[in-house]
Order: sequence, then structure tokens, then C-alpha cells
Amino acid sequence: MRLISTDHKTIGINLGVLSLFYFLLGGLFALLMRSQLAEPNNQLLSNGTYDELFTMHGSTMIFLFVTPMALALALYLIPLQIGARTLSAPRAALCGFWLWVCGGLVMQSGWFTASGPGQDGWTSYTPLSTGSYTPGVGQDLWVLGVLLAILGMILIAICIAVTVARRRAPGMTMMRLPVFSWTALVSVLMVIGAFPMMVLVMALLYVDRLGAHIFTGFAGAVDYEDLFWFFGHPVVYVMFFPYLGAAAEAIAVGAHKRWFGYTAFVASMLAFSVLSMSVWGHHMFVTGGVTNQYFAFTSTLLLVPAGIEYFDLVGTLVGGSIVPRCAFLFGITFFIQFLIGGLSGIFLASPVLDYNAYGSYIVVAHFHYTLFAGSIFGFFAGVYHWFPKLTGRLLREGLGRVHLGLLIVGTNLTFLPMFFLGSDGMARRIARYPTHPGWAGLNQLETAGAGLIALAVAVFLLNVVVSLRRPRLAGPDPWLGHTLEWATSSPPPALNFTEPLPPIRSYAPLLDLREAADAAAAADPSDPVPVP
Amino acid sequence: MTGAVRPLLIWLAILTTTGTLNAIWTGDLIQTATFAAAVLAVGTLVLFQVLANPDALRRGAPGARGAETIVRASAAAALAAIGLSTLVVGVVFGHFLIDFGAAVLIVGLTRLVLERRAQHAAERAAAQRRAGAEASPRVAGRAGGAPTGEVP
Repeated sequence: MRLISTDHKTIGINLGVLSLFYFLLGGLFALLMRSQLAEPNNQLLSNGTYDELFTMHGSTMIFLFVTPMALALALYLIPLQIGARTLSAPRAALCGFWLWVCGGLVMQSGWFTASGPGQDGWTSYTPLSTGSYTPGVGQDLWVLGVLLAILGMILIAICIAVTVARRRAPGMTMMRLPVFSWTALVSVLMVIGAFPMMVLVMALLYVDRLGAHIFTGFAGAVDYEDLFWFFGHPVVYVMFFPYLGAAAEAIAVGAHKRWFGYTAFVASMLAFSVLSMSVWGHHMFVTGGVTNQYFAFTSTLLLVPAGIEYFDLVGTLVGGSIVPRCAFLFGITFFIQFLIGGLSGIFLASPVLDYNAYGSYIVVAHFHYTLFAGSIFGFFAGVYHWFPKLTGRLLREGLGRVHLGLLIVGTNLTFLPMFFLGSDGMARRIARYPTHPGWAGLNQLETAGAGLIALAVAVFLLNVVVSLRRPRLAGPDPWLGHTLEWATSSPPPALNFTEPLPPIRSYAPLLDLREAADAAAAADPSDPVPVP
Repeated sequence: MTGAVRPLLIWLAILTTTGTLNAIWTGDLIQTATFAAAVLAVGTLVLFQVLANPDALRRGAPGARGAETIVRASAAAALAAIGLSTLVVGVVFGHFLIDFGAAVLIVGLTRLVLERRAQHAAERAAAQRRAGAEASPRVAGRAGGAPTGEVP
């Protein structure tokens, strides 16, 4: 029954748990790759297997973990945050979930074919991915699996957008949507705007592989990249914004202060999301097939909304009564780690500098600081923040801090040396590198870092198991939350709310109630008002 | 639903601006087409929202929602997705999967239609009951495999 439930919470949890499984699978692929790269001229994996691993690592993480996990968070939380009892068009959301499940299975089923799974990178550039250069069923399954998974995510995104439009509680204007809901909303807009292009591209690529020669020659290759990156760059932000929202909620609640500069934040999210759909050509600077000035200009413009978010972060922290729980610490770390990815992105937005960095480990370092650090720390901030809401149980803070420490060390040990290796000329997507002064040591550091990340994830899983088997009950609102999901029981009942909702006068209605109670108590200390 | 599409219109306006800038600056047909496709996709969503409820354009807070039926489960939606996926994979592996997938898809879509009709019937009956008219008490039963419930 759970698998055909149309309850948004059940679909969200199903999607989230399956995504987490894919996170572990993608992580396993990464560990194998790092083992291969631990020594120069290592013979652990063949070139072909390494190609398959980096392709499936990237594809699994992007199509089957980070993006769907962001949608899973939105599916679970948005109806609760906007005071809705259900999702709009829940059957479509369920259909989307199953399309995504089937897409994932189809993509991974390539491992059981003679030709192996997809092996052309998550970008699957033409002409490499055409039937002439990558024959075999595995690549076909990759193409069709991606198509199905993307189709499923589009359906889910439409449901989320319509839910925000139609099911907000009385009083919940758009400018009173919680911060997370805004970040998720702009993300689903990007999914609706950009993801259909990927469905088209995969369909065309499949037809091309059948011999239609759609993406032929230089123009065909550039056209493919144009269409692919129109999806490929926005998806990076779909994998970022909801986690930014999760980190922002965790920080605001941890600081016992409402998120600073809400209106500017909303405006910056709108601008940020649209701009991020207008910068894709910076992935194609070296092709000579795009107008570099336009894309350099729009890419650099991204600094403005990003700066507003950091300004809001600082504004939230200043004057706050900070309680540094795990969710808060993960949230802060998210912003710090992402900063490294963001700042290195400024250099890559410059065509002149990008010409030198393209194809090197500098790019790998940059996108792992934005994608891994910029998603995972926000994801874990969200997990530590909302786990009590999902389960009614608290995660262990001690284990959470060990998890955080290991993840910080592991992340930086893995990805920071990539900047040095890249600037020294080490190319990405190679299974073997020659003996070169310094390269072996830095690669061994990265491999050790990957091991630490795996250990950190193991500690997190242990924390989940311990917290579920020896529960410490959370109650409906363990953190003194700001938003409506904390106004119901943990876990929430079938239709989300059994009690009438509190009046909604801002994006932090529960904080409003507490502040009103504090003000009343201060005005008349002899007649204290009970704090909800 | 009040005011829901206003931010979406702003979002569309910014996207149209950057798209127009792109068209002027680069003159690249493919890029202009991709921008147009994105504007069309989100614009269609906005248009549907406005057509469904013109209040979506008006400033202000949404009011209380009326009664509605709640769909608790739908085997049909899952069947339709699995059918479509099987059909797509059949393109690689052969006719049997295409036929089988198409059959499952048709069954799923048919059941979806039946579920929707049962839901609408339940909503109509509930509306009649609220209006004080004689209404069937047999509302919100199991219909097309989808248990429905009524929200006060």
C-alpha cells in the first residue's frame, strides 16, 4: 500500500529513501574510482570499467540522488509548510515517482549487459555517444533510463508548483512562504522550464543512435551541447537551491531569529534561478560555438544574488541567540564549503581562464565543491533539522558532530588537492596517470579523503539506526521552529493538521506567536501568556 | 490561490529578458528556441493556473478551501508509469515488451479515468449534501481501486 500511496509524505519518504540508496551506490562507484587513482599507472580497473564507473557515478548522483532528493524534501515539506492537507494532483506525483524508479532501474540495468552500462560521462556528448562510437545496449539503456527519470521528475515538479499555487492555507500569501518553500518553488520552476529539453535531447540521441544522424559533424556536436547544457546547468541549481533553503531554515531556527532580509532573499532567488538558466554556454567556451561574452556576462552576474544570500546569512547570525546543534552546524558548513565552489566558479566564468582549466581537475574540484559540498551539507542540515518531524525521534547530537567532523575533513581532503592537480595539468576522466612529482601523494590524499567521506556516511547511518532503535522522542516542535510543519504532531497525521492552524502573518508564523506571547508577558508580567 | 502566479510572471519576465538579450547578442537560433521552450513550458503552467482561477492574478491572501475528496492511493498511476517505462525499454529489447507495456499503460490510464470519475462523483455528492439537498450517503467509497475520503 505504501508504494501506491498518494500521500505526499509517503511519496516523499519513498523517493528520499530510494535516493539515499542511490547515494550509497554512487558513493561506491566513487570509492572504486579513487582506489584506481590512488597510485600512478594503477592496474586495478581497466580503462573501459573506469569510464563506466565515472559515467554511472555522475549519472547516479545527479539523476538518482541529489535532484530527486531535493524533490523528495519538497514533496514532504511544502504541503506542511504552506498549511495544505494534501498535494495537488497526487496521482501525477505518484506516476512521476514510479517513472523515476523505472528510469533508475533501466539506467542501472546496463551493468548486466555484455556492453556494460553508459560509458560516455553524464553529459554523453556526441559524437562519442552515437551508435558508431558507443555501440551496445548499455548506452541505449542509459539514454532511456535518463529520459524516464527526468520525465518522472518533471511530473513531480509540476505537482509541487501547482500545490504552492492552489493549496496555501488562508493568510499564506506568496510573500509569506517559508524560505525553504521559496527555494523549492524556484527549483521546480527550473525543472519545468529546463528538464523537458533533456527529454527531447535523450529522445533525439536515441534516434541518432539508431542511425538517424541528427547530431552530425561540428554543428551537430555543438547543437547537442547547447541543448544538453540548457538542462545541464539549471540542474546544478536544482541540486543547490532546496538544500540552500534547508540550511537557511536550520540556521534561522538555530539562531532563534527569523531569516534576515526575506524580501531581498525572495527577489534574489527569482533572479538567481532565471540567471542560472541563462548561463549554460559557459560550459562550451572552448567549443568556439557560442558567444562567450554573453555567457561570461550572465555567469558573472550570478555573483549578485549569491552575494545577497551570504549577506542574509550574516544578517541572520548577527544578534541571534545561537544554539549550535548539528542542523545549524551543517547549515553553516554548507555556506562555507559552497563558498569555495562559488569563488572558483568566478574564474571558470571567464573564458580566458576557462580555456586553461577546461578538462582538468580544476573543473572537477569546482563542481564537487558546488555539487557535493553545496548539496550534501545542506541535505544533512535538513536531515538533522527535519528528522524529528519525519519520525518523531531525535538524532543523536554526539554522533552527528562526529559525522560533521569526518565529512568536513573528508570533503576537503578529497576535493581541495584537485585544484592543485588540475593547475599542474592533470586531466579529468583518465583511468591512469603517469608518475609525476607530487601527483601520487595528492591522489593518495584524495583517496583517503573519499574513505573518510564513506566513514562519515557510515556514522550517519549508524546514527539513524541508533535513533530509531533507541528512540528519544522529539515531540511536535523540538527546536522551537518557525514554520507551520512544527505546528503539527511528529510524524504528522494523514491529513497533516488536526488542530486549527495558527494565524499566518509572516513567513515565520510560529515565531510570531512566540514573540507576541513574549511581548504580552513583558507588558504584564503578572499575567503570563502561555507560549505555544 | 490568490496571487499565486504573480511571482511566476516576474520569473517569466526575467527569463524573457535574458532570452531576448541572448537572441540580440548571439543571434543563435537554437539558443533562442531553448529559451522560448522554457518560457512556453512555465507560461503554460501559469496560463492553466489563471484559467482555473482568475484570482491567481489578484493580490492578497488565499481564503479557506471548500470540501474536497482525498485520494489515498492509486494503483492506476503506478501501473501507467510502469507501462510507459516497459514500452520505452521495449524499444531496445523488442516487440513483446512494447506490446506488454502498451497493454499495461492502457489498463493504467483506463483505471485513472475511472478513478477521476469516481472522485468527481464523490465531490459532486458532497457538494449537494452541504447544500442541504438530498444527497446520496454513498459518497467517497472505493472507486476504481482508489479509496477516497472526504475532508470537512
